Amino acid sequence: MRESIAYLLIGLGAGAFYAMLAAGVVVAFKGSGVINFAHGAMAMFVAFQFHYLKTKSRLQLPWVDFLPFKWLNIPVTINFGEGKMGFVPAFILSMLTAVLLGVMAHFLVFRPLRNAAPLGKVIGALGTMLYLQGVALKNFGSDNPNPKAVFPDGIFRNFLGLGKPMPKDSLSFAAFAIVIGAVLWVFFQYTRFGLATRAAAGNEKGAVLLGYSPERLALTNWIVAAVLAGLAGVFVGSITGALNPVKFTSLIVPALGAALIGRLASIPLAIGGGLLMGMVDSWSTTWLTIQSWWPKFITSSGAKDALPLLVIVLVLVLRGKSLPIRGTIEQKRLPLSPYPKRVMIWCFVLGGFAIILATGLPGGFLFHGLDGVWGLALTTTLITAMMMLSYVVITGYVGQISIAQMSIAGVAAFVTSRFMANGLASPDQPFPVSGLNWPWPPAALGGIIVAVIVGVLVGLPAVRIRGVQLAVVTIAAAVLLQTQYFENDHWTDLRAGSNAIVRDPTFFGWDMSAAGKGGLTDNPRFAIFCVVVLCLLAAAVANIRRSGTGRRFLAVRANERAAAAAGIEVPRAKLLAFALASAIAGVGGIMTGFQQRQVSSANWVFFSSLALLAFAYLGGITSIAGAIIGGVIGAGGLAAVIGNYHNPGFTPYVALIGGVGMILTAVIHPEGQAPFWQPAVQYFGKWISTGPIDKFPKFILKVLPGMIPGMLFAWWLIFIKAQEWRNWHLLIILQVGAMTRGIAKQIMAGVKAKRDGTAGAGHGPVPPSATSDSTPALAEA
Amino acid sequence: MAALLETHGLTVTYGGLNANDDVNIAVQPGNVCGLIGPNGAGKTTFIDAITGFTAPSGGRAMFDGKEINALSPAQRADAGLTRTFQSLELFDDLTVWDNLLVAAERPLWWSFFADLVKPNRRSAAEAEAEWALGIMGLQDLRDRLTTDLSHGQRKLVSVARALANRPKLVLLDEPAAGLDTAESQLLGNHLRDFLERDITVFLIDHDMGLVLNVCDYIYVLDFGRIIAEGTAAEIRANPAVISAYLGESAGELQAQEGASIRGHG
Repeated sequence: MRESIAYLLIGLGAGAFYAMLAAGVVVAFKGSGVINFAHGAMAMFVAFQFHYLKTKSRLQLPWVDFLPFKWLNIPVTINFGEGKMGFVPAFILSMLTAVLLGVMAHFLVFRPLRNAAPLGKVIGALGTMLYLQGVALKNFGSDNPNPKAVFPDGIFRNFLGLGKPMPKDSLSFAAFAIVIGAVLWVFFQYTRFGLATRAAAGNEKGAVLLGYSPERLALTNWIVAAVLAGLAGVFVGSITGALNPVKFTSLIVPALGAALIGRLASIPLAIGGGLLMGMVDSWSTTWLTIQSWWPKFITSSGAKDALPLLVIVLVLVLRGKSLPIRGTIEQKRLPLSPYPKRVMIWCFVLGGFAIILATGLPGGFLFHGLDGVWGLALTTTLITAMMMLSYVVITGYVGQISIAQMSIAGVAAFVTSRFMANGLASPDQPFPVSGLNWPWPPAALGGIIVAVIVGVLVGLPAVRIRGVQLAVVTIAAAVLLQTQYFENDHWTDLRAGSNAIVRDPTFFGWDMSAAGKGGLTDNPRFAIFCVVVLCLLAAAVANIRRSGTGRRFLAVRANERAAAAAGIEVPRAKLLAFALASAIAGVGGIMTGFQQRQVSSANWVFFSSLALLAFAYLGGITSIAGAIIGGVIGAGGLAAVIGNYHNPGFTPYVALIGGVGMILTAVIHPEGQAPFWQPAVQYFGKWISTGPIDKFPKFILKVLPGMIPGMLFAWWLIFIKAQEWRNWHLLIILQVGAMTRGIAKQIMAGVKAKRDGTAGAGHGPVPPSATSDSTPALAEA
Repeated sequence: MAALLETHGLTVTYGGLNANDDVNIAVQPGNVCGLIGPNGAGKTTFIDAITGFTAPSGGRAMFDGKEINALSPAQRADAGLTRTFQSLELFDDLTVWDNLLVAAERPLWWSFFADLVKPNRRSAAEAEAEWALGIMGLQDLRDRLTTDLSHGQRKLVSVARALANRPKLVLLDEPAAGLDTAESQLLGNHLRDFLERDITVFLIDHDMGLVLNVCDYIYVLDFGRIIAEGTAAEIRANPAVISAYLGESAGELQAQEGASIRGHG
């Protein structure tokens, strides 16, 4: 008993950090309705800032010098003399940085997104997170300093006579978190600003009528939230050790759990919840899981990782309503999901193109056949596109946000590998893994079936909750799968952190192995295998969209109440979508296993799901074409590999550009890139197939003028940055031209709408498909 | 004849407020039945309770001879009890045609697998959707997105969607709200057409003209209770209705207006 109490108290330090982060998440949510996934990244940035100010008197601004000039630079670094800086000035400057971050987050990201669909806000927050990580990597470097604790350190040898040592700073952290929590509580409870914020969170329209500007309230709350993140990073962050640019980001999971204990509204409950979670963390890892009765199939971190999930699921499910009462406040919907046409032709054209790339038939223009680098890039593109199809189904069609798709893919891959295992040692597998010794087709089928079951279980909360809250539950589920399955040798039978081996597929005696003659990912047959699988999946998804099942999916996405009234079993439709998406993700996972010839737990962390979701969104999450484009621009895909291959030194900018791209896409063009390409490609296809040659020049004349500025800009960037001209640069020039034309059109439409006075409360450029809801407000009954 | 829809002592409580208090109604098949009441009388709550969107705290709802209290909204729609919404709630990502088709289609257990390999299978649902499209005169708007339509057109689509799976009883929640007099009259004419397809109508509105003119039998709801019931003539003459709901002079005015519309029609 005394031991348990001591272990609980030791957890106060970590708990204080969760509590501080949770309080910031709550403030940001109150002010703007956004669940700020970037909160940890904000804390990280300010913690870095404080450290470098104190040790080097160097202030780094939260942006990079992206201008390609030698003679004109954007200021990034401000030097305050040489050597160390005192605590007070460093602290003040760090807090000013936090204020700046809050102001930027409000004006550049979340204010433009305030009417966006929930997914748009999630993408905005993720983009902010990636951006801050990218900037930190560029500005602070990757030497991972070890900041000194601000509070006095040292150890109580026998704290309160409980017989265990207790670090002194843990107590200071907890006290600090409680004081901050109390100050915030008083601030929100007893000031006019706090009252107005609470009023606006309850009913924004009402607050406007009373003369409060929700904009100003949101701005102030963002500043408060960012300062809280900064305080957490500066004062309490030292408990987690060395600083690096991705630090604190994954701590968003327990912090969200704590914030949800406070229902994203109560700061005292969030602080208490955070402290409690820290204490139970520490108690469960040091005491609970070493008890003799603790089941061995749950790893020692098991209880700790399960806790946020349990808390989150319980709070959300108990709170959630199965159907929202009456209509909800006007919110922009996800972009329209286009009706897929000519799927067969697309499969033949794009599949044929990929096969040409794989086999290098004509050779010359882009690649010279398949070598390891291109083979890896090509097959990664195809497999990523498969996984993104699972997002097209679950998010694009049914509107549910799941951040566990990669984890589900991982389940399929691990299960397949285990079914294939034969219990024998081999050079690849020094530690034998027991298994069923099945050939690949039944093993893969088994993997897909298990993935479907897991996917439906992960999707079960979706019956009661939706939107961002569902995203949070799926993150927690992803973390649980990671630690309890992929990293748990009780289930995987893997020793010493080795990877699970996947045997190479064969097809009626043909070797379909990813590894060809060179031993790298250079077997054209495997690329063809990927093309065939992707085409089958794309055709299946297109068929779903074009049939009754797809209509029901879209009806659920559009309006759950009305769907239920029209006789659609909404829970069944959602779970069916989760099952289908999980099967697709499972296929992707198994193909990844074949590609890498082994399965590693590192592939399936929830951050890779976030990245997948982000690139699916960039490509266009509601269409199959978007998934294909997402595969090309996604991590390790053709675009990134070509970019790295030809412009080395580009890598540090990738996260940054990805983050900015996500924010821009969410704000300006939620449909993603697919619509930019489709008309041109369709027109080109029509021109080839039916031959109205006279019309094609007309089309070119119509779109080209708008594309010229963007094309010139892209050409100029390439001219300055790239070492030499490459043919694929032409594609980038065309793409940038098309994008800038699209963006300019959106902005012009927005300006025109504003001038005509039809935009009303609308803000800035809005995609036409989202503004068409102009029905007069109905009188309340 | 047995009533198609009956409620026995239906009560819905929000906190301490009885939004519906011991409501007993019976809708006869082949009728247009009406429910009127001032704002806040509990009309929408009553529809929500019958269609499964609000859980009643007491009482029973019987549809077609069976108790439906335990059924989900979708199961009730399947059983032939559909509704419209005051705020329309169309599927704004689908065309008018798809809006109707999605309500008309009933998936079987293998539909999903068939859809994976062969979309666009012919189905009986298309004929139903076609009929619903026709009866509301929406053929020209078939392939338009619902967001491109005017408010009146959207209203018609919402009624058509409720008809698309050929229900036995359709509950219309304020279908005339936001329509001008001509549109409202057109709608009243449509309601009579439904009866020819054996679709009974339960109409909720506070447009007295419409309700008094088209309904065979009318219930009056005030503060969650039924205060009067009867034919249009009886309701017009009922002093409790006139004083409690219409207010004396307004009642006469409305009644006259109703009479004059009937005279034209």
